[in-house]
Amino acid sequence: MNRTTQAVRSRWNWTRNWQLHVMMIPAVILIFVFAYLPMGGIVMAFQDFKPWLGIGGSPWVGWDNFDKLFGQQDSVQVLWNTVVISVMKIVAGLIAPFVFALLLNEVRKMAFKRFVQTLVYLPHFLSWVILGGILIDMLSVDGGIVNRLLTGALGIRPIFFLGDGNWFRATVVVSHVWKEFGFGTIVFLATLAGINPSLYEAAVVDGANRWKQTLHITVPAMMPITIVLATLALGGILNAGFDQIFNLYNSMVYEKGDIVDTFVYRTALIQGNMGFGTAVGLFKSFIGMFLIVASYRMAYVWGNYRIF
Amino acid sequence: MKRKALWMSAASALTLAMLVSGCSGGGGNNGNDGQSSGPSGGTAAASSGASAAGDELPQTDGKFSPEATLTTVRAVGDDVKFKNGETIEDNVFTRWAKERLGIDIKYLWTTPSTNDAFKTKLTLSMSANEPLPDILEVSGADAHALIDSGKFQDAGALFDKYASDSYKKAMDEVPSAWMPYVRDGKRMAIPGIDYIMQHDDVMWIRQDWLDKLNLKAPTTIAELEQVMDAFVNRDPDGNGKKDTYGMISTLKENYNAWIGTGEIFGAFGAVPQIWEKDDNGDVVYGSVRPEIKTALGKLKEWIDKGYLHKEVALQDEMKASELFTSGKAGIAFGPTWLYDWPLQDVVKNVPGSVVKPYPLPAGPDGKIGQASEGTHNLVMLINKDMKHPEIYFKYINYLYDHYNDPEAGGEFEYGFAKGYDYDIIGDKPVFGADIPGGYIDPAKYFLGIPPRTPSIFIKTLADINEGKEPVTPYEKKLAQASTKQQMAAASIVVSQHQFTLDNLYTGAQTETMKDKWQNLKKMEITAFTKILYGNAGLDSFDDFVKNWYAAGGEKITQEVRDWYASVGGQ
Repeated sequence: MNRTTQAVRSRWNWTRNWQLHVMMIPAVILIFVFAYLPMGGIVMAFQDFKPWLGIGGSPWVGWDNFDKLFGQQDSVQVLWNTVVISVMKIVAGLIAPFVFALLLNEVRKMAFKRFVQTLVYLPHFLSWVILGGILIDMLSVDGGIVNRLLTGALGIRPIFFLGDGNWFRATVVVSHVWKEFGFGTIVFLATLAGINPSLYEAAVVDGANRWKQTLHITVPAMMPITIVLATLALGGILNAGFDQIFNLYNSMVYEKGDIVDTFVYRTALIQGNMGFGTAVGLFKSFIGMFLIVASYRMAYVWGNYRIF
Repeated sequence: MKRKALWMSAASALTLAMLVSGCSGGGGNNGNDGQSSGPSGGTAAASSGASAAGDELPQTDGKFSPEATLTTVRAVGDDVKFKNGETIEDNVFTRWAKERLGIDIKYLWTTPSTNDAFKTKLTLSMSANEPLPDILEVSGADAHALIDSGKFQDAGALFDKYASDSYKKAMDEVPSAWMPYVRDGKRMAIPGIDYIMQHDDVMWIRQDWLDKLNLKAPTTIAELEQVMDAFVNRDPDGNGKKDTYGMISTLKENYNAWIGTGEIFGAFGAVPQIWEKDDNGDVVYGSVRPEIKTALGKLKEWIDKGYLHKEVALQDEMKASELFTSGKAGIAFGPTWLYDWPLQDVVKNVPGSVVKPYPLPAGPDGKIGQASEGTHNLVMLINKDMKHPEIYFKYINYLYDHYNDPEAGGEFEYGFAKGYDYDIIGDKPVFGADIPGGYIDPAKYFLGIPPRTPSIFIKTLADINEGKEPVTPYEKKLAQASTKQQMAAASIVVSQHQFTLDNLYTGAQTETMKDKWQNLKKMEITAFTKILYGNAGLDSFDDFVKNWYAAGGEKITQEVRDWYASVGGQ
């Protein structure tokens, strides 16, 4: 295709579709006003921001706010905790709904399928403040239902789920997946519903059994959406779930459970240090953007798959 | 051509949108201007009348005439209830202020009390350069940044000039309350003084357990251990299972919480998490004193023996108190009101249970100690642009003179307003649920914390408990409204108040604190929890102290001492 035809075609597109483009204008304006204009506030990350002085008048402090984040003794450990918990959550949070959607898809009784789907979606609507209290009771070493079952059935000593660092991480990941996998399941089920039935018919004609069909038709068809979800999740890798951890953690698991958000909450936000809060937000967005770009490239190079 | 036209139209649409948003922004500002011109208009009108009489606003019959306007802002929480369709802008209190004092109270804005909404709104309105209210009540911690903004005036000087004798007398009981807000010798905020001793702890015990096991209430830590051992191992609830605890406690974050552990440490000679004096009389941080080590060892032993719940480091006060109210634990350290709420629930849940207050037990060397909660939480800031601060003092003086300790037969003998916090049926006053239409506390509508003489509350309770006949309306009301347990606890608190340690550092965060304090706090709580749960030996306490001083504690201690000296502490 040479340059002139391209130009002609694009002009043709404009002429023909200008109404569509006009319809886009409100959205563009809204995005500009609510997403791009506020970005000016990023300068607060380099200021000792005082509300009464405003962005124009607050003193500049260079990289001080970032020093505060990285200069603390335990900031490396906090970052590491965040990444570990977050990666475990992302992986488990993809596998669980993926498998569950596959299984649910095999259920032939519609009423049952719908019932289960709603049931697993329900915890999504509970807040961590409530769930935190429930979990502390359920996981108690002393008479908590989980430990009673474990000691009764397996005869092992009670596990201090919320008081032992490694168990704490596991508890955080499992409870997160339990709360959220219903939502992922819906996305995957929608994808499954969109697979062309003629593919399965052709496979049956070729003699593929249920397992082979799943392996060679269903799973490949689900890969694109899986990659999209994984990429989007990577963008939030430094968000390991403030609400959840804040309601579950305690001084016994600071070493393995303290994450960036809880650290920042204790360090700065309680005192209303907005410059520091902005600096952390900027850092998190930066890492998130880097990871999204990287995974986008990887999906293209290795999977030959364009997400956007 | 077409394309260009499109760009033109897009650009003009954008401009239009900006114009619209600009207009609405301007509109908002206009609205605020309108609001702010209210008070200034009011004061302008008033001061023009005043110019004849000198500097101050003219008054007739003890009220401003013409009416003076007082602007303020506030958070309205769920605890602020209304009746008869009233609102925070128009209620029995605002009408009273208008009629009795000639003060027209105007709220520039109000917010809910949840999610820091008030702080957010205040910050936003300051960054938008909106006018601040005449008076602004915030927490002591938030006040420091506001004082530094330079938008508020020397409140101490105004207090000296305008406060009434009864208000000054109340404030004189707690002169140290001013200390945190002193800048260059000027007192920049008025502390909202609160009752002292109302957060001093006593030892609450299940008396029926003691009686059943034939035990006496412990007076020392050693005796306390024996009692806890019996509560754990001798089945005080008689259900044949070993499912009871000696004591409830919170070791989650705050060791001096309202179900506290501070007094256990205090018995060994140091109270953690506050700034106190060491044996040489120097100000030090309590948590790094050597006495703490002994107490930690004791607490670890108690957790191992099951005297304390295994998850004591996970529990907050509510969670801990559930153990007590469900009849699973026998001892709690807490303030005089702890029986009224929540311990009293145990009487409902476990028939026959009796809870009684006892003095704090003494340590091996006869020491007793606990942390005080300070003299106030809230402070009042006065806007630099407020031309007539006497308007505010007129209001607060009146309440200190007449409402705080009301005279018999006076306006506030039974409460603030008939039909709200009291009513008269026949010729007898009734309170609480007996009021037709329900009880509403008009003090919640006041401009900030109600007037309080710090010593009056607990002291009066103690006096009544010790047999003093209630005479004044305040005494009568307290005698009628308080439980026997609270009065008994008040007597104990008064007798042990000498052992309550004030936190000697009440200033704003020092330079080093800003950077290091949270790290030091985390270091402290992690080290203590490790010791308590046996993940580190007791001797690791010494390493903690060394690390604490090295990681900024040394410098902070010096800053705190400098501050303490600068505000005149000895």
